[in-house]
Amino acid sequence: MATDLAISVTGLTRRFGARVAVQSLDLSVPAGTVYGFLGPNGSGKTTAIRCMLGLLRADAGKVSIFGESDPVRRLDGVGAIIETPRFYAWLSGRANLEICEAYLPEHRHGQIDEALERVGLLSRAHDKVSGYSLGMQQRLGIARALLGRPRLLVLDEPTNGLDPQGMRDVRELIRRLAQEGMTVFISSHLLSEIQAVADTVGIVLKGRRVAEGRVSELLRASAGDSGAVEIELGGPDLNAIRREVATLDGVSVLPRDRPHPGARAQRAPARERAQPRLGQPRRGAGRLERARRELREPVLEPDRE
Amino acid sequence: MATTNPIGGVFWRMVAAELRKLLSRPSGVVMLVISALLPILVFGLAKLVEGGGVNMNANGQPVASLFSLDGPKLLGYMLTARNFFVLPLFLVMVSAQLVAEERANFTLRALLALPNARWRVLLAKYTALLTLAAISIVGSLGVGGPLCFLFVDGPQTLVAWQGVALGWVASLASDAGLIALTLLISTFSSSVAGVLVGVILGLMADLAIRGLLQIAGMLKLFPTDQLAALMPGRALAAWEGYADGWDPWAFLGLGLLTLGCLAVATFRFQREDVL
Repeated sequence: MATDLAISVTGLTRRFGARVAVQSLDLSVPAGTVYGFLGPNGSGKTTAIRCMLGLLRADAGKVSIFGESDPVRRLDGVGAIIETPRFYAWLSGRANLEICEAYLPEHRHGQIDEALERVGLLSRAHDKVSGYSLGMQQRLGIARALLGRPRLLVLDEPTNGLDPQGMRDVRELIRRLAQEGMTVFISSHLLSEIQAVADTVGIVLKGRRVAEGRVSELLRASAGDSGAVEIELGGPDLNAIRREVATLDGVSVLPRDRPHPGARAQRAPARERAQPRLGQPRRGAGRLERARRELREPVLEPDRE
Repeated sequence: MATTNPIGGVFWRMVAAELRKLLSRPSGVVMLVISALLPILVFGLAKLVEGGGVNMNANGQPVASLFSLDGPKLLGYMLTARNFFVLPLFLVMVSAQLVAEERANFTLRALLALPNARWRVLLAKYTALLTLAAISIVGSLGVGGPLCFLFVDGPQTLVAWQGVALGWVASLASDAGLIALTLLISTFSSSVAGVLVGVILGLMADLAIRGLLQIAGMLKLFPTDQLAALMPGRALAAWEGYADGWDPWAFLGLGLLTLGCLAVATFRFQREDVL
Protein backbone atom coordinates (compact mmCIF):
# COMPACT_ATOMS: atom_id res chain seq x y z
CA MET A 1 0.00 0.00 0.00
CA ALA A 2 1.45 3.37 -0.97
CA THR A 3 1.56 5.86 1.87
CA ASP A 4 3.31 9.11 2.77
CA LEU A 5 3.52 8.09 6.38
CA ALA A 6 6.30 5.85 7.60
CA ILE A 7 4.63 5.36 10.97
CA SER A 8 1.04 5.98 11.87
CA VAL A 9 0.01 5.44 15.48
CA THR A 10 -3.58 6.00 16.53
CA GLY A 11 -4.92 5.79 20.07
CA LEU A 12 -2.10 3.62 21.33
CA THR A 13 -2.61 2.69 24.96
CA ARG A 14 -0.61 0.40 27.20
CA ARG A 15 -1.09 -0.14 30.92
CA PHE A 16 1.09 -1.95 33.42
CA GLY A 17 -1.36 -2.84 36.13
CA ALA A 18 -2.89 0.40 37.37
CA ARG A 19 -0.17 2.53 35.79
CA VAL A 20 -0.88 3.89 32.33
CA ALA A 21 2.44 4.02 30.47
CA VAL A 22 1.08 5.16 27.12
CA GLN A 23 -2.31 6.80 26.81
CA SER A 24 -4.18 7.33 23.54
CA LEU A 25 -0.98 8.21 21.75
CA ASP A 26 -1.23 9.47 18.18
CA LEU A 27 1.84 9.90 16.01
CA SER A 28 2.32 10.60 12.33
CA VAL A 29 5.84 10.17 11.04
CA PRO A 30 6.28 11.36 7.46
CA ALA A 31 8.34 9.08 5.24
CA GLY A 32 11.84 10.28 4.45
CA THR A 33 12.18 12.52 7.49
CA VAL A 34 14.04 12.41 10.78
CA TYR A 35 11.40 12.34 13.51
CA GLY A 36 12.41 13.20 17.05
CA PHE A 37 10.41 11.51 19.78
CA LEU A 38 11.09 13.70 22.75
CA GLY A 39 10.17 13.34 26.37
CA PRO A 40 11.66 13.05 29.82
CA ASN A 41 12.66 9.69 31.24
CA GLY A 42 9.61 7.63 32.19
CA SER A 43 7.29 9.47 29.81
CA GLY A 44 6.43 6.30 27.88
CA LYS A 45 8.72 6.66 24.87
CA THR A 46 10.29 3.20 25.09
CA THR A 47 6.96 1.54 25.85
CA ALA A 48 5.46 3.18 22.77
CA ILE A 49 8.40 2.02 20.64
CA ARG A 50 8.08 -1.52 21.96
CA CYS A 51 4.40 -1.52 21.07
CA MET A 52 5.23 -0.27 17.56
CA LEU A 53 7.75 -3.10 17.14
CA GLY A 54 5.36 -5.72 18.48
CA LEU A 55 7.47 -6.47 21.55
CA LEU A 56 4.66 -5.35 23.84
CA ARG A 57 0.99 -5.93 23.25
CA ALA A 58 -1.00 -2.75 23.13
CA ASP A 59 -4.17 -2.58 25.20
CA ALA A 60 -5.74 -0.38 22.55
CA GLY A 61 -4.86 1.48 19.41
CA LYS A 62 -3.47 0.84 15.97
CA VAL A 63 0.05 0.93 14.60
CA SER A 64 0.92 0.81 10.94
CA ILE A 65 4.31 1.13 9.32
CA PHE A 66 4.36 2.17 5.66
CA GLY A 67 0.67 1.36 5.62
CA GLU A 68 1.11 -2.19 6.89
CA SER A 69 -0.55 -3.02 10.20
CA ASP A 70 0.14 -6.76 10.42
CA PRO A 71 2.45 -7.12 13.43
CA VAL A 72 4.97 -9.28 11.54
CA ARG A 73 4.82 -7.84 8.03
CA ARG A 74 5.08 -4.26 9.23
CA LEU A 75 8.56 -5.05 10.59
CA ASP A 76 9.91 -5.92 7.14
CA GLY A 77 12.02 -2.91 6.30
CA VAL A 78 12.48 -1.77 9.89
CA GLY A 79 15.77 -1.71 11.78
CA ALA A 80 15.71 -0.90 15.47
CA ILE A 81 17.71 -0.28 18.59
CA ILE A 82 15.72 -0.51 21.80
CA GLU A 83 17.56 0.94 24.77
CA THR A 84 21.08 -0.46 25.23
CA PRO A 85 21.69 -3.09 22.56
CA ARG A 86 22.72 -6.52 23.85
CA PHE A 87 24.74 -9.19 22.08
CA TYR A 88 26.08 -12.72 22.39
CA ALA A 89 29.24 -11.65 24.17
CA TRP A 90 31.22 -14.80 23.39
CA LEU A 91 30.81 -14.26 19.64
CA SER A 92 32.50 -11.70 17.42
CA GLY A 93 30.72 -8.57 16.28
CA ARG A 94 30.46 -10.01 12.81
CA ALA A 95 29.08 -13.35 14.05
CA ASN A 96 26.43 -11.45 15.99
CA LEU A 97 25.35 -9.67 12.84
CA GLU A 98 25.37 -12.94 10.87
CA ILE A 99 23.02 -14.51 13.42
CA CYS A 100 20.74 -11.52 13.19
CA GLU A 101 20.86 -11.53 9.41
CA ALA A 102 19.74 -15.15 9.36
CA TYR A 103 16.44 -13.96 10.81
CA LEU A 104 15.88 -11.43 8.03
CA PRO A 105 14.11 -12.12 4.75
CA GLU A 106 16.49 -13.17 1.98
CA HIS A 107 16.15 -9.90 0.09
CA ARG A 108 17.74 -8.12 3.05
CA HIS A 109 20.87 -10.30 3.22
CA GLY A 110 24.44 -9.47 2.24
CA GLN A 111 25.11 -6.08 3.81
CA ILE A 112 27.07 -6.92 6.93
CA ASP A 113 30.33 -5.37 5.78
CA GLU A 114 28.57 -2.22 4.65
CA ALA A 115 26.79 -1.87 7.99
CA LEU A 116 30.03 -2.42 9.92
CA GLU A 117 31.85 0.08 7.78
CA ARG A 118 29.18 2.72 8.28
CA VAL A 119 29.68 2.60 12.05
CA GLY A 120 33.45 2.27 11.83
CA LEU A 121 33.70 -1.24 13.22
CA LEU A 122 34.87 -3.16 10.17
CA SER A 123 38.42 -3.46 11.46
CA ARG A 124 37.19 -4.86 14.80
CA ALA A 125 34.54 -7.11 13.29
CA HIS A 126 36.29 -10.33 14.25
CA ASP A 127 36.89 -9.35 17.87
CA LYS A 128 34.65 -10.84 20.52
CA VAL A 129 31.90 -8.49 21.67
CA SER A 130 32.97 -9.10 25.28
CA GLY A 131 36.02 -6.96 24.46
CA TYR A 132 33.98 -4.07 23.05
CA SER A 133 33.50 -0.83 24.97
CA LEU A 134 29.98 0.42 25.65
CA GLY A 135 30.32 2.90 22.81
CA MET A 136 31.43 0.16 20.40
CA GLN A 137 28.46 -1.98 21.44
CA GLN A 138 26.18 0.96 20.79
CA ARG A 139 27.70 1.36 17.32
CA LEU A 140 27.37 -2.40 16.71
CA GLY A 141 23.72 -2.03 17.68
CA ILE A 142 23.32 0.62 15.01
CA ALA A 143 25.06 -1.67 12.51
CA ARG A 144 22.62 -4.43 13.44
CA ALA A 145 19.71 -2.07 12.91
CA LEU A 146 21.11 -1.11 9.51
CA LEU A 147 21.28 -4.72 8.27
CA GLY A 148 19.39 -5.16 5.07
CA ARG A 149 19.11 -1.42 4.44
CA PRO A 150 15.83 -0.80 6.25
CA ARG A 151 13.45 1.90 5.06
CA LEU A 152 12.77 2.90 8.63
CA LEU A 153 15.35 3.11 11.39
CA VAL A 154 14.03 3.25 14.96
CA LEU A 155 16.63 4.45 17.44
CA ASP A 156 15.75 4.53 21.11
CA GLU A 157 18.26 6.73 22.93
CA PRO A 158 21.02 5.84 20.44
CA THR A 159 23.72 8.02 21.99
CA ASN A 160 23.53 6.42 25.44
CA GLY A 161 27.02 5.49 26.54
CA LEU A 162 28.74 7.37 23.74
CA ASP A 163 31.45 9.94 24.29
CA PRO A 164 31.01 13.40 22.68
CA GLN A 165 32.83 12.31 19.52
CA GLY A 166 30.66 9.18 19.33
CA MET A 167 27.55 11.32 19.72
CA ARG A 168 28.67 13.58 16.90
CA ASP A 169 29.38 10.52 14.73
CA VAL A 170 25.89 9.15 15.35
CA ARG A 171 24.30 12.49 14.49
CA GLU A 172 26.34 12.65 11.32
CA LEU A 173 25.33 9.10 10.43
CA ILE A 174 21.65 9.92 11.00
CA ARG A 175 21.93 12.92 8.71
CA ARG A 176 23.61 10.82 6.00
CA LEU A 177 20.96 8.11 6.25
CA ALA A 178 18.23 10.72 6.01
CA GLN A 179 19.87 12.19 2.91
CA GLU A 180 19.77 8.71 1.39
CA GLY A 181 16.01 8.68 1.90
CA MET A 182 15.77 6.58 5.04
CA THR A 183 13.14 7.53 7.60
CA VAL A 184 14.70 7.83 11.04
CA PHE A 185 12.65 7.74 14.23
CA ILE A 186 14.85 8.78 17.11
CA SER A 187 13.78 8.98 20.72
CA SER A 188 15.61 10.96 23.33
CA HIS A 189 15.14 12.91 26.52
CA LEU A 190 17.71 15.45 25.32
CA LEU A 191 16.38 18.52 23.56
CA SER A 192 19.71 19.30 22.01
CA GLU A 193 20.04 15.85 20.50
CA ILE A 194 16.64 15.98 18.84
CA GLN A 195 17.12 19.57 17.76
CA ALA A 196 20.41 18.67 16.11
CA VAL A 197 19.02 16.01 13.78
CA ALA A 198 15.23 16.04 13.59
CA ASP A 199 12.97 17.67 11.01
CA THR A 200 9.79 16.85 12.89
CA VAL A 201 9.32 16.33 16.57
CA GLY A 202 6.69 14.70 18.74
CA ILE A 203 6.76 15.55 22.42
CA VAL A 204 5.39 13.05 24.89
CA LEU A 205 4.61 13.53 28.56
CA LYS A 206 3.13 10.95 30.91
CA GLY A 207 2.36 8.73 27.96
CA ARG A 208 0.47 11.40 26.00
CA ARG A 209 1.59 13.41 23.03
CA VAL A 210 1.52 17.07 23.91
CA ALA A 211 2.96 18.57 20.72
CA GLU A 212 3.89 17.48 17.24
CA GLY A 213 5.19 19.46 14.32
CA ARG A 214 8.21 20.64 12.44
CA VAL A 215 11.06 21.65 14.69
CA SER A 216 11.31 25.08 13.06
CA GLU A 217 7.61 25.75 13.68
CA LEU A 218 7.83 24.73 17.31
CA LEU A 219 10.89 26.93 17.70
CA ARG A 220 9.04 29.90 16.26
CA ALA A 221 6.11 29.24 18.55
CA SER A 222 8.40 29.19 21.54
CA ALA A 223 10.24 32.39 20.68
CA GLY A 224 8.17 34.63 22.94
CA ASP A 225 9.47 37.26 25.35
CA SER A 226 9.62 34.77 28.15
CA GLY A 227 11.55 32.21 26.08
CA ALA A 228 14.41 30.73 28.06
CA VAL A 229 17.82 30.80 26.49
CA GLU A 230 20.31 28.04 26.98
CA ILE A 231 23.97 28.94 26.87
CA GLU A 232 26.89 26.62 26.47
CA LEU A 233 29.75 27.05 28.91
CA GLY A 234 33.38 26.48 28.09
CA GLY A 235 36.80 27.31 29.49
CA PRO A 236 39.82 25.84 31.20
CA ASP A 237 38.18 25.45 34.63
CA LEU A 238 34.63 24.39 34.07
CA ASN A 239 33.86 23.89 37.77
CA ALA A 240 34.85 27.49 38.51
CA ILE A 241 32.63 28.63 35.67
CA ARG A 242 29.69 26.62 36.98
CA ARG A 243 30.16 28.13 40.45
CA GLU A 244 30.37 31.58 38.94
CA VAL A 245 27.24 31.15 36.89
CA ALA A 246 25.31 29.78 39.86
CA THR A 247 25.68 33.11 41.67
CA LEU A 248 24.03 35.07 38.86
CA ASP A 249 20.46 36.20 39.34
CA GLY A 250 18.08 34.62 36.85
CA VAL A 251 20.63 32.11 35.58
CA SER A 252 20.63 28.44 36.58
CA VAL A 253 23.31 25.84 35.91
CA LEU A 254 22.09 22.86 33.93
CA PRO A 255 22.59 19.32 35.32
CA ARG A 256 25.85 17.58 34.55
CA ASP A 257 24.20 14.79 32.52
CA ARG A 258 23.59 17.15 29.62
CA PRO A 259 25.67 16.62 26.48
CA HIS A 260 27.20 20.09 26.81
CA PRO A 261 28.00 21.99 30.00
CA GLY A 262 25.43 24.70 30.09
CA ALA A 263 23.32 27.17 31.94
CA ARG A 264 19.88 28.58 31.40
CA ALA A 265 19.11 32.26 31.47
CA GLN A 266 15.43 32.54 32.33
CA ARG A 267 14.97 35.91 30.63
CA ALA A 268 16.89 38.00 28.16
CA PRO A 269 18.00 40.61 30.79
CA ALA A 270 19.63 37.86 32.82
CA ARG A 271 21.61 36.81 29.78
CA GLU A 272 22.72 40.34 29.21
CA ARG A 273 23.98 40.48 32.78
CA ALA A 274 25.72 37.12 32.46
CA GLN A 275 27.50 37.77 29.20
CA PRO A 276 29.94 40.51 30.25
CA ARG A 277 30.57 39.05 33.68
CA LEU A 278 31.52 35.65 32.38
CA GLY A 279 33.50 37.27 29.67
CA GLN A 280 35.86 38.96 32.08
CA PRO A 281 39.27 37.33 31.71
CA ARG A 282 40.40 38.41 35.17
CA ARG A 283 38.38 35.68 36.84
CA GLY A 284 39.60 33.05 34.38
CA ALA A 285 36.02 31.94 34.33
CA GLY A 286 35.72 31.53 30.58
CA ARG A 287 33.12 33.04 28.36
CA LEU A 288 29.80 32.41 26.81
CA GLU A 289 30.61 30.53 23.64
CA ARG A 290 27.23 30.22 22.15
CA ALA A 291 23.68 31.01 22.88
CA ARG A 292 21.07 28.91 21.27
CA ARG A 293 17.36 29.17 21.32
CA GLU A 294 15.94 25.79 22.20
CA LEU A 295 12.51 24.33 22.27
CA ARG A 296 10.64 25.98 25.05
CA GLU A 297 11.32 24.21 28.29
CA PRO A 298 7.80 24.32 29.78
CA VAL A 299 6.74 21.73 27.23
CA LEU A 300 8.94 19.21 28.98
CA GLU A 301 7.77 20.01 32.46
CA PRO A 302 4.81 17.78 33.33
CA ASP A 303 3.55 20.15 36.01
CA ARG A 304 2.89 22.80 33.42
CA GLU A 305 0.84 20.50 31.19
CA MET B 1 3.49 -9.11 -0.40
CA ALA B 2 4.42 -12.48 -1.85
CA THR B 3 3.43 -15.49 0.23
CA THR B 4 6.48 -17.14 1.74
CA ASN B 5 6.88 -20.69 2.91
CA PRO B 6 6.73 -20.58 6.72
CA ILE B 7 9.29 -23.41 6.90
CA GLY B 8 11.33 -22.20 3.93
CA GLY B 9 14.94 -21.16 3.46
CA VAL B 10 14.90 -18.41 6.08
CA PHE B 11 13.60 -20.84 8.67
CA TRP B 12 16.53 -23.20 8.14
CA ARG B 13 18.94 -20.26 8.32
CA MET B 14 17.36 -19.40 11.65
CA VAL B 15 17.89 -23.00 12.79
CA ALA B 16 21.53 -22.86 11.64
CA ALA B 17 22.04 -19.58 13.50
CA GLU B 18 20.62 -21.08 16.70
CA LEU B 19 22.78 -24.19 16.28
CA ARG B 20 25.81 -21.96 15.79
CA LYS B 21 25.07 -20.27 19.10
CA LEU B 22 24.76 -23.65 20.81
CA LEU B 23 27.98 -25.04 19.36
CA SER B 24 29.96 -21.91 20.14
CA ARG B 25 29.26 -22.11 23.87
CA PRO B 26 31.15 -24.30 26.35
CA SER B 27 27.93 -26.00 27.48
CA GLY B 28 27.13 -27.24 23.98
CA VAL B 29 30.68 -28.40 23.30
CA VAL B 30 30.99 -30.14 26.68
CA MET B 31 27.71 -31.91 26.05
CA LEU B 32 29.00 -33.34 22.77
CA VAL B 33 32.36 -34.29 24.28
CA ILE B 34 30.62 -36.15 27.11
CA SER B 35 28.39 -37.85 24.54
CA ALA B 36 31.49 -39.20 22.80
CA LEU B 37 33.40 -40.10 25.97
CA LEU B 38 30.63 -41.90 27.86
CA PRO B 39 30.62 -44.99 25.57
CA ILE B 40 34.40 -45.27 25.95
CA LEU B 41 34.03 -45.11 29.72
CA VAL B 42 31.28 -47.74 29.70
CA PHE B 43 33.31 -49.93 27.36
CA GLY B 44 36.38 -49.67 29.58
CA LEU B 45 34.43 -50.47 32.74
CA ALA B 46 32.67 -53.42 31.12
CA LYS B 47 35.93 -54.90 29.87
CA LEU B 48 37.45 -54.38 33.30
CA VAL B 49 34.62 -56.22 35.03
CA GLU B 50 34.51 -58.96 32.43
CA GLY B 51 38.23 -59.52 32.67
CA GLY B 52 38.08 -59.92 36.45
CA GLY B 53 39.76 -56.59 37.05
CA VAL B 54 37.15 -55.66 39.63
CA ASN B 55 37.53 -57.69 42.79
CA MET B 56 33.92 -57.64 43.92
CA ASN B 57 31.48 -60.34 44.95
CA ALA B 58 27.75 -60.55 44.54
CA ASN B 59 25.85 -63.27 46.42
CA GLY B 60 29.20 -64.81 47.31
CA GLN B 61 30.31 -65.08 43.72
CA PRO B 62 32.79 -62.91 41.82
CA VAL B 63 31.01 -60.30 39.75
CA ALA B 64 32.94 -61.32 36.67
CA SER B 65 31.38 -64.79 36.72
CA LEU B 66 27.89 -63.25 36.62
CA PHE B 67 28.72 -60.88 33.85
CA SER B 68 28.36 -62.13 30.30
CA LEU B 69 28.99 -59.43 27.78
CA ASP B 70 27.81 -59.23 24.21
CA GLY B 71 27.72 -56.39 21.73
CA PRO B 72 24.03 -55.44 21.88
CA LYS B 73 23.99 -55.69 25.66
CA LEU B 74 27.00 -53.40 25.95
CA LEU B 75 25.45 -50.96 23.49
CA GLY B 76 22.39 -50.99 25.74
CA TYR B 77 24.55 -50.09 28.75
CA MET B 78 25.99 -47.24 26.73
CA LEU B 79 22.47 -46.06 25.90
CA THR B 80 21.51 -46.19 29.56
CA ALA B 81 24.63 -44.20 30.47
CA ARG B 82 23.83 -41.66 27.77
CA ASN B 83 20.30 -41.13 29.01
CA PHE B 84 21.09 -41.20 32.72
CA PHE B 85 21.07 -37.79 34.37
CA VAL B 86 24.18 -36.02 33.05
CA LEU B 87 23.35 -35.54 29.38
CA PRO B 88 19.63 -34.87 29.97
CA LEU B 89 20.75 -32.25 32.49
CA PHE B 90 22.97 -30.65 29.84
CA LEU B 91 20.10 -30.78 27.37
CA VAL B 92 17.83 -28.95 29.82
CA MET B 93 20.58 -26.40 30.47
CA VAL B 94 21.29 -25.56 26.82
CA SER B 95 17.56 -25.41 26.09
CA ALA B 96 17.09 -22.94 28.92
CA GLN B 97 20.03 -20.88 27.65
CA LEU B 98 18.36 -20.48 24.29
CA VAL B 99 15.14 -18.99 25.68
CA ALA B 100 15.24 -18.11 29.39
CA GLU B 101 18.77 -16.77 29.40
CA GLU B 102 18.28 -14.85 26.17
CA ARG B 103 15.24 -13.24 27.70
CA ALA B 104 17.19 -12.33 30.83
CA ASN B 105 20.10 -10.75 28.94
CA PHE B 106 17.81 -9.07 26.38
CA THR B 107 19.29 -10.74 23.29
CA LEU B 108 15.88 -12.28 22.62
CA ARG B 109 14.50 -8.76 22.19
CA ALA B 110 16.63 -8.12 19.11
CA LEU B 111 15.45 -11.37 17.47
CA LEU B 112 11.79 -10.68 18.19
CA ALA B 113 12.02 -7.17 16.71
CA LEU B 114 12.70 -8.77 13.32
CA PRO B 115 9.98 -9.71 10.84
CA ASN B 116 9.26 -13.24 11.98
CA ALA B 117 6.26 -14.74 13.71
CA ARG B 118 7.24 -15.71 17.22
CA TRP B 119 6.16 -19.30 16.73
CA ARG B 120 8.76 -19.55 13.96
CA VAL B 121 11.45 -18.25 16.29
CA LEU B 122 10.50 -20.79 18.96
CA LEU B 123 10.28 -23.60 16.41
CA ALA B 124 13.72 -22.67 15.05
CA LYS B 125 15.16 -22.85 18.54
CA TYR B 126 13.41 -26.17 19.17
CA THR B 127 14.68 -27.62 15.88
CA ALA B 128 18.23 -26.48 16.66
CA LEU B 129 18.07 -28.12 20.10
CA LEU B 130 16.69 -31.31 18.60
CA THR B 131 19.53 -31.26 16.08
CA LEU B 132 22.03 -30.91 18.91
CA ALA B 133 20.41 -33.88 20.68
CA ALA B 134 20.63 -35.87 17.44
CA ILE B 135 24.33 -34.98 17.07
CA SER B 136 24.86 -36.12 20.65
CA ILE B 137 23.16 -39.45 19.95
CA VAL B 138 25.04 -39.96 16.70
CA GLY B 139 28.26 -39.09 18.51
CA SER B 140 27.62 -41.63 21.26
CA LEU B 141 26.48 -44.28 18.83
CA GLY B 142 29.30 -43.49 16.42
CA VAL B 143 31.86 -44.14 19.14
CA GLY B 144 30.07 -46.91 21.04
CA GLY B 145 28.71 -48.86 18.07
CA PRO B 146 32.08 -49.74 16.49
CA LEU B 147 33.53 -50.53 19.92
CA CYS B 148 30.74 -53.02 20.60
CA PHE B 149 30.70 -54.40 17.08
CA LEU B 150 34.42 -54.89 16.67
CA PHE B 151 35.81 -55.57 20.13
CA VAL B 152 33.16 -57.48 22.05
CA ASP B 153 32.63 -61.17 21.54
CA GLY B 154 29.51 -63.03 22.50
CA PRO B 155 26.17 -64.18 21.21
CA GLN B 156 24.80 -61.70 18.75
CA THR B 157 21.73 -61.79 16.58
CA LEU B 158 20.41 -59.27 14.15
CA VAL B 159 17.24 -59.01 16.25
CA ALA B 160 19.26 -58.04 19.31
CA TRP B 161 21.08 -55.33 17.36
CA GLN B 162 17.80 -54.05 15.94
CA GLY B 163 16.27 -53.82 19.40
CA VAL B 164 19.01 -51.72 20.86
CA ALA B 165 19.25 -49.61 17.70
CA LEU B 166 15.58 -48.77 18.10
CA GLY B 167 16.33 -47.84 21.70
CA TRP B 168 18.79 -45.23 20.44
CA VAL B 169 16.24 -43.88 17.98
CA ALA B 170 13.63 -43.77 20.74
CA SER B 171 15.98 -41.81 22.95
CA LEU B 172 15.86 -39.01 20.36
CA ALA B 173 12.09 -39.01 20.81
CA SER B 174 12.61 -38.77 24.56
CA ASP B 175 14.99 -35.84 24.04
CA ALA B 176 12.34 -34.18 21.90
CA GLY B 177 9.92 -34.44 24.83
CA LEU B 178 12.46 -33.18 27.34
CA ILE B 179 13.35 -30.16 25.17
CA ALA B 180 9.67 -29.31 24.71
CA LEU B 181 9.11 -29.54 28.47
CA THR B 182 12.13 -27.30 29.09
CA LEU B 183 10.96 -24.71 26.57
CA LEU B 184 7.57 -24.64 28.26
CA ILE B 185 9.16 -24.05 31.67
CA SER B 186 11.43 -21.43 30.06
CA THR B 187 8.34 -19.37 29.28
CA PHE B 188 7.81 -19.04 33.04
CA SER B 189 11.38 -18.31 34.12
CA SER B 190 14.18 -16.01 32.99
CA SER B 191 17.04 -17.92 34.56
CA VAL B 192 18.72 -21.16 33.61
CA ALA B 193 18.84 -22.21 37.27
CA GLY B 194 15.12 -21.50 37.60
CA VAL B 195 14.35 -23.69 34.60
CA LEU B 196 16.60 -26.49 35.88
CA VAL B 197 14.87 -26.42 39.26
CA GLY B 198 11.49 -26.27 37.53
CA VAL B 199 12.19 -29.34 35.40
CA ILE B 200 13.60 -31.31 38.33
CA LEU B 201 10.70 -30.38 40.64
CA GLY B 202 8.25 -31.20 37.88
CA LEU B 203 9.72 -34.65 37.34
CA MET B 204 9.85 -35.27 41.10
CA ALA B 205 6.17 -34.35 41.35
CA ASP B 206 5.54 -36.70 38.44
CA LEU B 207 7.33 -39.48 40.33
CA ALA B 208 5.22 -38.86 43.42
CA ILE B 209 2.00 -38.92 41.40
CA ARG B 210 3.04 -42.16 39.74
CA GLY B 211 3.73 -43.61 43.19
CA LEU B 212 0.24 -42.65 44.30
CA LEU B 213 -1.19 -44.15 41.13
CA GLN B 214 0.67 -47.38 41.86
CA ILE B 215 -0.80 -47.51 45.35
CA ALA B 216 -4.24 -46.82 43.93
CA GLY B 217 -3.70 -49.65 41.46
CA MET B 218 -2.63 -52.05 44.20
CA LEU B 219 -5.76 -51.15 46.14
CA LYS B 220 -7.73 -51.75 42.92
CA LEU B 221 -9.38 -48.34 43.24
CA PHE B 222 -9.26 -47.83 39.49
CA PRO B 223 -7.08 -49.08 36.58
CA THR B 224 -3.94 -47.03 36.74
CA ASP B 225 -1.39 -48.72 34.46
CA GLN B 226 -2.21 -46.81 31.29
CA LEU B 227 -2.59 -43.56 33.19
CA ALA B 228 0.83 -44.00 34.77
CA ALA B 229 2.34 -44.74 31.34
CA LEU B 230 1.01 -41.42 30.07
CA MET B 231 2.74 -39.46 32.81
CA PRO B 232 5.71 -37.33 31.64
CA GLY B 233 8.35 -39.15 33.67
CA ARG B 234 7.34 -42.52 32.30
CA ALA B 235 6.91 -41.13 28.81
CA LEU B 236 10.41 -39.69 28.83
CA ALA B 237 11.71 -43.17 29.65
CA ALA B 238 9.94 -44.76 26.68
CA TRP B 239 13.34 -45.59 25.19
CA GLU B 240 13.81 -48.23 27.92
CA GLY B 241 11.36 -50.38 25.99
CA TYR B 242 14.24 -51.78 23.95
CA ALA B 243 15.13 -53.93 26.97
CA ASP B 244 11.77 -54.40 28.73
CA GLY B 245 9.45 -54.51 25.73
CA TRP B 246 7.98 -51.52 23.97
CA ASP B 247 5.02 -49.85 25.63
CA PRO B 248 2.78 -48.04 23.13
CA TRP B 249 1.15 -46.11 25.99
CA ALA B 250 4.51 -44.63 26.92
CA PHE B 251 5.03 -43.46 23.33
CA LEU B 252 1.53 -42.05 23.25
CA GLY B 253 2.37 -40.21 26.45
CA LEU B 254 5.62 -38.98 24.92
CA GLY B 255 3.79 -37.67 21.86
CA LEU B 256 1.20 -35.92 24.01
CA LEU B 257 3.91 -34.48 26.24
CA THR B 258 5.93 -33.15 23.30
CA LEU B 259 3.05 -31.67 21.36
CA GLY B 260 1.27 -30.39 24.46
CA CYS B 261 4.35 -28.66 25.84
CA LEU B 262 5.19 -27.14 22.45
CA ALA B 263 1.63 -25.90 21.98
CA VAL B 264 1.44 -24.25 25.40
CA ALA B 265 4.99 -22.87 25.12
CA THR B 266 4.17 -21.35 21.72
CA PHE B 267 0.94 -19.85 23.04
CA ARG B 268 2.76 -18.25 25.96
CA PHE B 269 5.73 -17.14 23.83
CA GLN B 270 3.39 -15.57 21.30
CA ARG B 271 1.67 -13.47 23.96
CA GLU B 272 4.73 -12.65 26.00
CA ASP B 273 5.68 -9.03 26.65
CA VAL B 274 9.34 -8.57 25.77
CA LEU B 275 11.06 -5.89 27.79
